[in-house]
Amino acid sequence: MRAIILAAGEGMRLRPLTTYMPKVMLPVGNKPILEYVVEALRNNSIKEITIVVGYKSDRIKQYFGNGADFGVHIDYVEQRKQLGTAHALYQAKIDGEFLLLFGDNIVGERCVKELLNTKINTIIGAHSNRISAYGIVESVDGNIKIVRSSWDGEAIAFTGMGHFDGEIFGIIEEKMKEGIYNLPEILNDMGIRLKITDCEWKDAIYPWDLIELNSYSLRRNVRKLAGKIEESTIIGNVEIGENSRIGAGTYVHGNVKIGKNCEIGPNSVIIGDTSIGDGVRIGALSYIENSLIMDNVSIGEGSYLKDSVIGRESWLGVKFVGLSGKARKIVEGEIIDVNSGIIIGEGAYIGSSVVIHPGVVVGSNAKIGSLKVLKEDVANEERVV
Amino acid sequence: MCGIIGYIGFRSAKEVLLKSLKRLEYRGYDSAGVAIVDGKINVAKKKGYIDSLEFDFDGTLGIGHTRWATHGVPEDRNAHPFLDCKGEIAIVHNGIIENYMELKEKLIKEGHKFKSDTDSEVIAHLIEEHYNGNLKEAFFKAIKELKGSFAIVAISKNERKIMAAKKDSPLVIGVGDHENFVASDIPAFLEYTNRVIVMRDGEISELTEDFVHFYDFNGNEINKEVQIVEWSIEDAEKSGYEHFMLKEIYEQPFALDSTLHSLLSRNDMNFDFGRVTIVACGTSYHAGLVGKYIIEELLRIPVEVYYASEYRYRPNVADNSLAIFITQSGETADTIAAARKAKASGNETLAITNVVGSSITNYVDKVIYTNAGPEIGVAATKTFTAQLMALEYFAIKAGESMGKLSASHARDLLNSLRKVPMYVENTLNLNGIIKKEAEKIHKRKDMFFIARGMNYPIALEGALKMKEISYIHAEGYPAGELKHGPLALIEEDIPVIALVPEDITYDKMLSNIKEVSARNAYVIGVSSSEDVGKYVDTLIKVPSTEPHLSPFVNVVVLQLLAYHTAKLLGREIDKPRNLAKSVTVE
Repeated sequence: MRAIILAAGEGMRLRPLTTYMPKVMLPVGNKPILEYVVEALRNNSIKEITIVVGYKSDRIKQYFGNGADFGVHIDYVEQRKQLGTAHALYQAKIDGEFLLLFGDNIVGERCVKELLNTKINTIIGAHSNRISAYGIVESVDGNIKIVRSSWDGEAIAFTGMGHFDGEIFGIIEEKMKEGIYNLPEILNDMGIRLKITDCEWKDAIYPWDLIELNSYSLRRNVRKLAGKIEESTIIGNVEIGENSRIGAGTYVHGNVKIGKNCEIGPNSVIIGDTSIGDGVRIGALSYIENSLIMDNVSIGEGSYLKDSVIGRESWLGVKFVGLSGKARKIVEGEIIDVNSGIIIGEGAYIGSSVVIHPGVVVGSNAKIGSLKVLKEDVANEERVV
Repeated sequence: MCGIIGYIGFRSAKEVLLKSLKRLEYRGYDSAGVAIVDGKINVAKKKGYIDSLEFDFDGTLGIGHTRWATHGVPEDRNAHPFLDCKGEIAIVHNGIIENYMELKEKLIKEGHKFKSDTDSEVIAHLIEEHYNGNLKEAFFKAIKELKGSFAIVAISKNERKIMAAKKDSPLVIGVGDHENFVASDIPAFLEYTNRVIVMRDGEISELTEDFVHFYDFNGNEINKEVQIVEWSIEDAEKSGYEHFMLKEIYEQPFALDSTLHSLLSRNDMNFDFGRVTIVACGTSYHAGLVGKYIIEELLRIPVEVYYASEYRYRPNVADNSLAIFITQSGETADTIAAARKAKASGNETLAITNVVGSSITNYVDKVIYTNAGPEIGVAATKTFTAQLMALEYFAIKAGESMGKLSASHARDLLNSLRKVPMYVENTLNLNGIIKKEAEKIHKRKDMFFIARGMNYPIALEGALKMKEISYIHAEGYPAGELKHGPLALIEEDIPVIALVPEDITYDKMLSNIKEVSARNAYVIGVSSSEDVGKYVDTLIKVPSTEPHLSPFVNVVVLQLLAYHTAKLLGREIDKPRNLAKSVTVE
């Protein structure tokens, strides 16, 4: 059985975190989201994988290569123009039976097992209680339809997982002639089956969702301490990578994952659920809680950060404060209420003693001078002096 | 349920006994009596409150009793203490002697004359039957023949000592200097000493001025340790408030703070269970229902809530369930029976109680103390909010230890609990507005309390408070159920108290309010949202809280509403008719 993974999109609603990286490569629990999908397939002995790439495809190819390091065999096909999910799938056209997966969700091993046990032309639905999202599965006159709607309370979301055969490509081809490039519209005309499951599946739509996705990924965390740990208190499922140094008097409360070559403390506090990538420096007397910190970030002495995401290679000065709380945001024309911390893109530079209000997004490569209080978003490359 | 006291020492026994009984009045108050040794045993006893008990004799050794009738109607002759035929032995008793009929028949055959209808009187005659000049010996023999539950205190005119026995009813010893006390509860003697020894089931104590010895029912001596009680007698008195209930309502910010701090210092809150069964009675049952919403929300596991008196009819179900028992006094007979049953069925058990060392703590694996201080008013107030606090804390710690909550989420939730005393404090500032509402509604015969979700149990609790102290018929309903029946009862001007927290129930509550306003009910809205004012006759605007904390502020409003309504009606607020503080009969 072959699996086709769609991984060509940017994930626009996750900007600025996707400035240099497609959504599928964003790390949660110090691993790209796509890797969770690949692992779930491999653990079900599905080793023939086609990944449809597009936006920043080099990042994916560089990381996964031909798949040998991950115990699978990967082919890539390119979607040159990101027209839609059906168009993306069409790039991987084959004759036989296949499994479809989206590369930008965390997918558990059991999901794939259940998908394998379905008949052809079945999609997988899961309970979701998000306020608004694309891809709600409803039964309309006895037919399964994927609709776009907001709703009150729980609903069944389309997980992007499906079991099909070559026939679907013929249908896509016809529909594309009519200018229809998205999968839901096409599936709605096919008379598909729905299987609802409670297996592990989680998506991130907005940057603030990554914190929850990160927390979700850390549920699999185990205690594993490498590196050099000075006299510190380490409670629960905490993973510390090779060559990392934890300074004396540091308090770490799981679930926490710390990568390789990090330098943390002394006298710092890291509260779960938190992921810290490779090569991160967190200065003395800092407090970090429930956050996602990507590779090579530097955080100055005496900083505070809660419920936040910090993109790769960002530099935060001493006494940096990222507040957490309620905020109303507009993303791609949609209003969303978040109760969260801040988002910082890649390579941002932030001077000393900067305070950033809850929900604020700082773009990639932005530069913020010292002693600023930020209440509004800052665009990519913007200077605040 | 009854309160008993025994004193031996150098003070005026009359003064000590009367003061102590006053402090035990919350345990029952339909009749009271004392027996004091002065060459002979003098007895005074009377139906009614302790204040109506008048007598001239005195001494330095005596016993007293305040009663809440179970066997025999409240009458002078059924009041304790009871004497034997010769008037040389006096006893007081709390509990039920199950085999008293059989013992009584036997004793009558031996020639004993009974003066009352009570089960307790047999104890005096039974001791007399075994008495050969040694009270201690006779007491041991008598206790061995008794079946049922009891706390018994006995004296003889010939010996300067007190004998006391405990089985399933509370008894504590107060250790003084050249004086000693025995009582049902600590406040009885707290004015004189704060050194306390809690008696366990199956123990007998022997008190003189200078020593207290403990034995098991077979006469083997036991060593017991003295505990120091930190709360002062002022804690147990009204400190300027007109009623204990009002005082206890106003103590809530402080009590909740002390509850929280005692909880935060616990480090043994690790759990692992697949489901939860909560068992309780009355107000504690309502706390349990709120607990259900909190636990299901945070742990995503099923929670069942039972009335303790109904739990016993449930077959033994082994279901990997943690059974939680909630009882303010720790002496509620139904709840204790349920705890024994749950344990026998192999469940893990946890008690939430306000009284350290109370009976329930002997029957469970783990205890969470609410530490709200003594509660005297029969209508529970501060112990209810303290129970909610304990349940919130329990759910968070269980969620964290079972990996259902991240360390950060658990931390946020615990931090939010720290704000509860402040929220409650701010709610108490609404007293004036609430009093005005009570003036508007206190003449009505019926009232409805409606809410949804985790505030539905608060509606039940609001209705219970109203019923028990104002004697007005009040019903709590899930707001969505109104149209399935009770709406037929809504008529012009009937008060409907609607709880409208700003959570997922908000919109639906507003439609339910429209349903009742359309029938011209008088609607009092309790909400943190100003907008609710547009839909109700009066808005009581409570502080805005995190969604899971709204029950704390809403219940305080309903407590004050019930209090002011009852006061306007001139009710006996601290001692409502037909009710006792803790119900130690099943």
